[in-house]
Amino acid sequence: MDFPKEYLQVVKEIEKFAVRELREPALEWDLNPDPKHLLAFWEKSRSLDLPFIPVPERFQGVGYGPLCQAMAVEALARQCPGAASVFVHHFAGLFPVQFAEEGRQSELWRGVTNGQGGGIAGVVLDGEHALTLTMKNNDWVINGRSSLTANVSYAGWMCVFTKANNQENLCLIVPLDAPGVSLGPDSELPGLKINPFRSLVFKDVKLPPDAVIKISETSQSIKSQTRDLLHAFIAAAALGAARTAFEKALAYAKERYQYGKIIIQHQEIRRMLGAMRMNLDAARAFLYAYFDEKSGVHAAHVKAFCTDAAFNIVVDAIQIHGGYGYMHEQGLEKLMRDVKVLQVLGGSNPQLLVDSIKG
Amino acid sequence: MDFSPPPYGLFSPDIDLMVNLPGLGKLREKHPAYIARAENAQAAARKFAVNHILPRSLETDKKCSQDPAYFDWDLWHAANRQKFTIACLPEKMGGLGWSALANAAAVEEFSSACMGSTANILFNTFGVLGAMVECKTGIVLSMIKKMLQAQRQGAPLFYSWAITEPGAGTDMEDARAMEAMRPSCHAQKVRGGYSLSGVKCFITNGSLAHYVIINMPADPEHPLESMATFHVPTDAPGFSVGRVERKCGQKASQTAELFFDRVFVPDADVWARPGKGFDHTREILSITRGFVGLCGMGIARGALERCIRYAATKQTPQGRLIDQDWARFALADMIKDLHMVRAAAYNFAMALDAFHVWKLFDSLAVKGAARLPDRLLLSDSLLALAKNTPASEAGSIFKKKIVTGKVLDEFVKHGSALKVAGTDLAMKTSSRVLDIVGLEGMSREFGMEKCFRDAKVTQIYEGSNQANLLDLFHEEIGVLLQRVF
Repeated sequence: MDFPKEYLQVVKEIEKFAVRELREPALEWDLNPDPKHLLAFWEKSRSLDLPFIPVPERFQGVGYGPLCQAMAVEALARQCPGAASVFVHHFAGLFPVQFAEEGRQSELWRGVTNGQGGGIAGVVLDGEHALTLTMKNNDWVINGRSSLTANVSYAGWMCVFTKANNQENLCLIVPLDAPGVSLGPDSELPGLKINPFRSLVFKDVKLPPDAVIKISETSQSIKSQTRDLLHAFIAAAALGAARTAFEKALAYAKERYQYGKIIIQHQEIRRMLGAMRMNLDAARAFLYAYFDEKSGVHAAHVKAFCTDAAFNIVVDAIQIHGGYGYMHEQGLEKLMRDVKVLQVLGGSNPQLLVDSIKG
Repeated sequence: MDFSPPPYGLFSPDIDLMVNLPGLGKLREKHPAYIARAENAQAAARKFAVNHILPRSLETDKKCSQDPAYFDWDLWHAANRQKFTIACLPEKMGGLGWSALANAAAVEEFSSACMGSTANILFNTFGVLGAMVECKTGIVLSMIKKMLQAQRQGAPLFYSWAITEPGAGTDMEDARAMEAMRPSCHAQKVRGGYSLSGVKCFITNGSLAHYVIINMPADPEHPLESMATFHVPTDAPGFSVGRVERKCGQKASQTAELFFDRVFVPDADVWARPGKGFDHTREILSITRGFVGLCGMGIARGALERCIRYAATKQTPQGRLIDQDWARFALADMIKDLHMVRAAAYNFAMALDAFHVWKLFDSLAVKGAARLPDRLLLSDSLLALAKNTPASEAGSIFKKKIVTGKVLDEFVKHGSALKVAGTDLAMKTSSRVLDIVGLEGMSREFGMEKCFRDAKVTQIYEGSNQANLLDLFHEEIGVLLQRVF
């Protein structure tokens, strides 16, 4: 597809930045996922306007759309899918803000650009309908325990989609420092360790009426658009990881000597590399086709296809590296763990396929 | 509605060897003791796996992520008390007298609980296998003596098998590859023995080993023609252990780099003389590859059983996860693959009993020796007699009559096939299980992500699956091509 020139320029900058700031530390963060590492990175990323890509220009943001955001996520994930996952959920959580009233919008966007409360957002889609929302004395009250959620270590607020007791779908901005909000235990997922997933526990969390972004029948559509974006960004993160794995495997195959020749001279290794490249290119084409509205591509399919492809690519990259690929210092086994989490993030792939066809 | 997890596999009190492999029924009619022994091994291993391995596997995995050199000695001692560490030795000598079939049943139970611990407890048999391969009576007897004494005293005794070098993985395991390899190790002939120098890497238990069985070429220019096998005590001057690797999984089992700096090995500790080292490796691989396939099958089983347990209680907006149509198809598909690989795995194990070194245990010579009173069997005078060259070579000649070159070719073929089938199953199943249970089920506490991390390396060690496929093709088809053209 034809990427807008200005987007390509942005991505180029992000790639350089990520190589400089993420490549080396990512392995250390994996072993010691102290939130201060990522917060320091986030601070630096502000100089590139990275967190403000979705913020409209009239609110001092960059104002580039979801396509640019996906490209940014892919570029970051090439060095660290965990750090990229923080941006995935930040960008997805910011999406509904544009539907708020002007004053509320301005306030929320300013929080992001000023970095108040970290300026990091997150999103809770409540696919399991575990949350309840009721109106009491003119306040909204949330109760319940969310499923495992990203960005809880970083976000100032979460964009929470849930059903009010009248079954209407609402979108609320919930500050994580609101009384009654607490975090469940660290789930210790195998990957994306710099972004520990926890459930959010809401106990009689009171929110003012303006916490709801928009009360209209389109909330359901905002929710599905947000979910679609989340899926596309997860796919982008997985493909960033897969690209790195492929490049490492290709380079290693040209170095490693075994069986009387460098291993790239073995047909079977070239077949594997060929399949990896084919799947990578096919998946990327599929992902970016999603941003062409005419394509009619289903976001859940993009996520399922791209994360599955990425997983197979990373696993084969490890295989080509042999024992070295299994060791932490190579960085490939980390990519495998990261991509495995991306594969089930936002709904497990078989479940998404089932849900994508109405029966 | 009943939401308790189904009593299945590890989580069931019932021994299921005959349920899973009903074809054994015919064999049991003729050999009831053979089957009973395997069932007993399964029962003992299941009990140990559930009571000792399972409760601490996640905690140990975590401790080892922080410190790769952490070792769960309590678990090892508990296993040692039950003689799992010397299980392969004949019962009359003090072991458990496990047949290959019994061994297989135990490996399946252990590895479905924790693969790393399995390696710690059962991979020690590599040492005995190495000795059995050469079958020099003196070496075998002195090794058995050491193992029995150590077990009785509760003292750890580890054997490591050091093959892989930084620049040579597959090249150390394949004759055609070895011809062209660039060795980084050298066993130089000196007076009265050899002087060993070089680096070995990714050596299982290398950091714990008391003895290392190592392959090095006497002439690095001609590695295949001069490869030799040595038996080296790790307190020998010049031997040192490098770092213990930080791995993705199987963390409970240590993997280390080994350095040899002019380590002197006397001629008596040369297990396979120069030119015979590759044959030694190949013979061990003809056994161990199949067992690695079995381990892979065990990992897959562990992942699957944890998944079924989780899915039986996990509520989704549509009801229990295990009641979802798509999940049932996926589970059934994985159970089907598990059954198929298991059938192949046990067929392989029984073939080892019928044709490979296990057959020696059935021979009159070994049975006779086992009947000797303890004092005599393990006495120094018998040992001295066995070390006497003609007596020692007699064992070797006797063994080669049973385990012929043709037998080895068959086992390399079937072992390689099983290795690839079992380890691919481990990776496929443990990964797919996570796709089914989703994000929450992937949390550390449910153990499935650990199965997944443990699985990947099984496709790499004991010869990458690609190397195994090359061997399989060569033994099954390649040899025919040579004959025709």
